[in-house]
Formats: sequence, C-alpha cells, structure tokens
Amino acid sequence: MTPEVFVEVLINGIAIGSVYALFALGLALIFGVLEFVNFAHGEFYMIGAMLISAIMIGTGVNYWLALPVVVMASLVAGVVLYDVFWRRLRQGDYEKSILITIGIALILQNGALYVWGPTPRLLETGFTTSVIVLGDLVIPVARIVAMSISFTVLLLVYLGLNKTRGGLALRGVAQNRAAATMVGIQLHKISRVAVGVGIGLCGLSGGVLALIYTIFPTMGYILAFKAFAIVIIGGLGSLAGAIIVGFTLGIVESFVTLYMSSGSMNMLVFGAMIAVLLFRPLGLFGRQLRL
Amino acid sequence: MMQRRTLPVGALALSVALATACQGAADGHSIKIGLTSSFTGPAALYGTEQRWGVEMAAEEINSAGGVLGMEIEFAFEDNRCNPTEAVKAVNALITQHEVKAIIGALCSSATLAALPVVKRAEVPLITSTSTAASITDQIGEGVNRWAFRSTIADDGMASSMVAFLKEEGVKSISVIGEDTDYGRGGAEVFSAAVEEHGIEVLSTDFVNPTSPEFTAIITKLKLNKPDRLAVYFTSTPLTAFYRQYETARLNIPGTGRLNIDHVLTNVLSDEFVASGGFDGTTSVNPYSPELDSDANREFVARFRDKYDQNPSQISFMAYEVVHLLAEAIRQGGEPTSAAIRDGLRKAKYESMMGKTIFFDESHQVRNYAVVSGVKDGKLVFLGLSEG
Repeated sequence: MTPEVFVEVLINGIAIGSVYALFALGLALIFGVLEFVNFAHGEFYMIGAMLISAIMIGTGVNYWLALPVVVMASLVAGVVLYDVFWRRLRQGDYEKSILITIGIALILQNGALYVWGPTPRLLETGFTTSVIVLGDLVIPVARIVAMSISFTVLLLVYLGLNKTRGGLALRGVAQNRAAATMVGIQLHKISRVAVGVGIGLCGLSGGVLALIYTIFPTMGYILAFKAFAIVIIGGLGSLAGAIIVGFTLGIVESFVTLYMSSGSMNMLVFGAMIAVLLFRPLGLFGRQLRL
Repeated sequence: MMQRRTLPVGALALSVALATACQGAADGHSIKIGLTSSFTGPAALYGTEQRWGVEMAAEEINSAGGVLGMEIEFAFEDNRCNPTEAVKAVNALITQHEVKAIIGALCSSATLAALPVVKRAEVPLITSTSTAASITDQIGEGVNRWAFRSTIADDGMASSMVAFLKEEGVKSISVIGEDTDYGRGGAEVFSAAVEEHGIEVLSTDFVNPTSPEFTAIITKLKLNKPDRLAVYFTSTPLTAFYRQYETARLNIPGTGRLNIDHVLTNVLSDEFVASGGFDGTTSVNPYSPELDSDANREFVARFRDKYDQNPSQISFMAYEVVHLLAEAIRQGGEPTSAAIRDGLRKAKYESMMGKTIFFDESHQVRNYAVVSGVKDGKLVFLGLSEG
C-alpha cells in the first residue's frame, strides 16, 4: 500500500466514522435518558437527507441555509414526538416503545416513498463532486465538509453536556434517575431536550451524509443497524462509548474492506457485537466511562 | 450533462394509476394481461420504464382493433424485485385479476421465484428483462412449459462483449456486481467469458444493492489498475457507485452491462464527462436508442413524443414483448391461458433489432445485442453482435 492510498483510506475512514459517531450519539442520548431504544432512528436520518434535497430543489437555496432548517425541523419533530408518545410511557414500557418507534419508522419510510418517489437522488451543491488533488492524493471536498461539520457538532455537544446546567442535569438523569428527581431536576423537561437533540443530530447526519451518498427511502435501515451495533458495543447509553466505537468502526471498516468483501464486514461488526454482549454485557465502556 | 431527473410526480401518478388499474372489470370485450414489476424499491425506475413500454404497445394494438376483436387490458402488481413479493404478485394476478398471461417479474431473482407458481397455475409467463443465465435451465418444454424469455441472456451477451474487448487489446479486468441473482449471475458468466479469452480477472466484488459506500472498492481498483471494470448493477447501486467514482477521480473504462445513458445523463457532472473520465467505456445490451434503423428511429420518435425521453432497453423490451404476445394470442385463436401458451410457440415477430424472433424448444429467443460505448463524452453505437 502506497502512503497516498493509506492517507486516502484513513481520511475516508475518519469521515465515515465521524458521521457514525454523530448518528450513534443521538441514539445513545435518547437511550441514556429515556432507557428506550428509538427504532425509527434510521428513518429520521433518511428524512433529514430527503428534506435537504427537497428544500434545495424546491426553493433553490444553498446548502448552508438548508442544513440549519433541516436540523431545526428534526429537533422540533423530536420534541413533538416526545410530548405525544414517549412522555406517556412509564419506565419499563419496553414493548410499547418498540411498537411505537417501529410504527413511526414504517410510516416515515412509506411516506417518503409516496411523497418523493423511489428514484435515487443526488444532492447538487457545487462542491459535491469537487476534489483536492495533492500529487497522487485525491481527497473529495464533500468528505472534508462532512468531517468538519461532524467534529464541530460533536465538540458543541460535549461542551453542552459538560459546561451547561442543562447538560449537567441531563447527565444526572442518565446516571441515576431517582437521585436526579430527588435533587429537583425536572425529568420531563430534560427528557424532552434529550429527544429533541437526539433526533436533531439524526437529521443533521442525514443532511451531512446526503453530500456523499445517494438519497432514497430505504437508505436509513442499513445505517440504523450499524448504529445499534455501535451503541451496544460502546455500552448502551454511554455517549463516549458511542463516539469512540463509531470512529473506530469507520476507520477499521475502511481498511478491512480493502481486503474483504463488504458483506463479510457486516459479519465482523455483528460478530463483535455478539462477542461484547457475551463477555462484557454492559459494553466496552458500559460503566467506567458513562457520562 | 443535461438535467438530473427526479420523478416524484411520476411516482404519484403511478400510484394513482395502480389504484385505478385494479378496479378495471372485464367487460367481455377485453383480454386481461398481468405485469408484475418493481414499481417501488431499489429498481423502481426500471419498473416505471417497463410500464411505459407496455402501455405504449397496448395502446397501439388497441387502436388498431385489438386482438381477436378484444382490447388488451393490463393489471399491475408490484414485487419490489423481492422473490417473496413476486410470488404474492403473481398469485394476485392469477386469482384476483384473472389474467390470461403474465409479463414479469423484471429482476432475475423475482422471476426465478415466480417460475414454479405459473407452472402450477398453468398460466404463461414471459420475462422480457431477466437476463440471468440461471433462468435458461429452468424454462422450456419438458422443464417448465409455461415460462418464456423474450430477451437474450447474459452469457451470450457477455461472450460477444469480451470478444470485442479482446480486439481492443484489453489484458486485465475487475468485476463488480450487486449481490442478487442478476449481479452474481452476470459477473459469473462475464468472468467465465473473460477467462476463456485469456484475459486476467483481477478481482470480483459483490455489494448489497442498497449499500451507499463504495470507497473501499474504489481504492482497491486504484491499487489493482485493471484495464476495464465490468459492472453488473441496477439503478440504485449504479447511481451511488458512479457518484463516488467521480469524486475519487477514477479513470477505468467500464464494461459489462452498464446503463451508460443513465450514468451520463443522471450521475456524472458535465465537467467530469468532458475531461474524459468516462471515455472508453463500452457496454453490451439487448437494445440501444442509437440503433441505426428506420424502425428504431420511428419508435424512438414516437416514444419521445409520449414520454419526453429516449426509450431505455427496459422500455424497448416491454414494448416488443407485448407485440409478440398479441401475435401469440392471434395464433392461439382463443383468449385462454392454454391457447396463448400454444400460440407463443407459433408466434413470430419482426424485432427492431433486425431478427425475426420466436421461442425455440427451450423457450428462448435469438436476437442481436448492441455494443455501445462512450467517445468524447458522448454515447456512441459501436455495432451489433450475435447475442
């Protein structure tokens, strides 16, 4: 492997890993606070991608204006969903939560098919097909943009969780619900924020990955399955775990698929997930690193 | 080059049309034919194209007086190129819509699943699009006398394509395909033909048709530097792959069964095409709108008039199979499944590709294949070869 190829593969891995991290972070955030798994996470990601394409084609605005609109729309959707569904569930209503989120997933997927049709779409931004060429090294601009957005947002979320009162309260709820309630933290308010931010991050990853990937109604579930594996390996509800495993997976995947078929890569990911569940049921970062 | 195509309105119209098509009752003056295709799912674009071809042919036949004094009426059932859905769709066409013959099921995996169903129900099925070589052994007199294939198969097309590449002096080839019967079957027969001609196969990769990420495969190709890249993808992976091919600034001419028109029109940017990034690409297909004949030019003009774009190979094959089926109904003399089946063995049709097509003992047809390519960023017709 030449050094150029090594760098290219590494950059690709980090770019994909940063988006995995962003996506899995939303899933882990919702789980950490509510202790419910959001099975519609992949569909919110798909809606994020569809929406940005629809906004850009429909109104002609550029990518940088459309992206915040998509994130805000996802955030609001998350808050509304929390108030309509999750708020009414009691702790331990796992079956209800599974049925509700799978139902939402089906409605979103088929709704997208009905509204936008099945044809795969590509986002045109003026830089989606541009590249930076350094000698033999070819770096797609879209991947650099995706990576930069992800890094910025991950940093913002980290600061938000560690430096603000709301963030501290949120971590408090994730660590110990009962104790958090006792010291006067408003559970519903914090949960609403967690779901809003979680779905917002999900819409954001859709808007960002739309730069690199084709957009179609069933694009969500492939990423969602991978994200479940990431969150489980990292330790359910562990935000740091989700981020670390997300990056690792992106980079490992990028190198391994050079020598193996992409099908066997999935085998590896889910094999690792089963191994972690067998030997470290709380995940690699289950207790020690939990935020 | 040109504008990118989106079909939201088309999809809406399609779903409305699907809903109404199901209500059409037989009034004694029509003969009902079923079409099962992928109207949704990753190959939905092809399903729409197939529907266009079928409807155009049916309109022509009906305005010329129909067959046996009856109009041809179509019933549609979606199968999303999924084998389980295909079985359901074929059953629905036979029992609910009471069709006398079926065209379908678009993708080879779906068609393979439908074959035993029509055999049991004794309703003739013609596939106009499923080119997988594995279908060859599963149809014909003595095997499944109810199933027919009106298109040439991937093995025949692959060997004519490879013979052409050999003449161009190609020494090494990498193969990529989607992980379906079509992709695996196409890649297999192509690799076999390549080895037969003494060309080296450097790598073979299969990907899930909904997989978005191709960088690993692209890096592998960059390292291996094959002379050609044989591609067996339907529209969703084809779109995703060529977008990333462009952003990697890869320059390996494609070959195999590549929908060149789609990649040129809908995927690659004008600048990349102009810079020669897609030049040297060749492909073998059952049809190309560039075909130089009066019959084809006239067909293309009529099609463009109706749908505002060139007929794809899927539309072409759908158009011809309906005409062939109409001839079979005339030959059979009665609007029953059994008579149509017998008629299919007698019917002959003058294909625009230049041969008179008919079903032989093994229910296959012989026809020419088109070799087309990309020269200076334009789709060009390179020649006909025996399919």
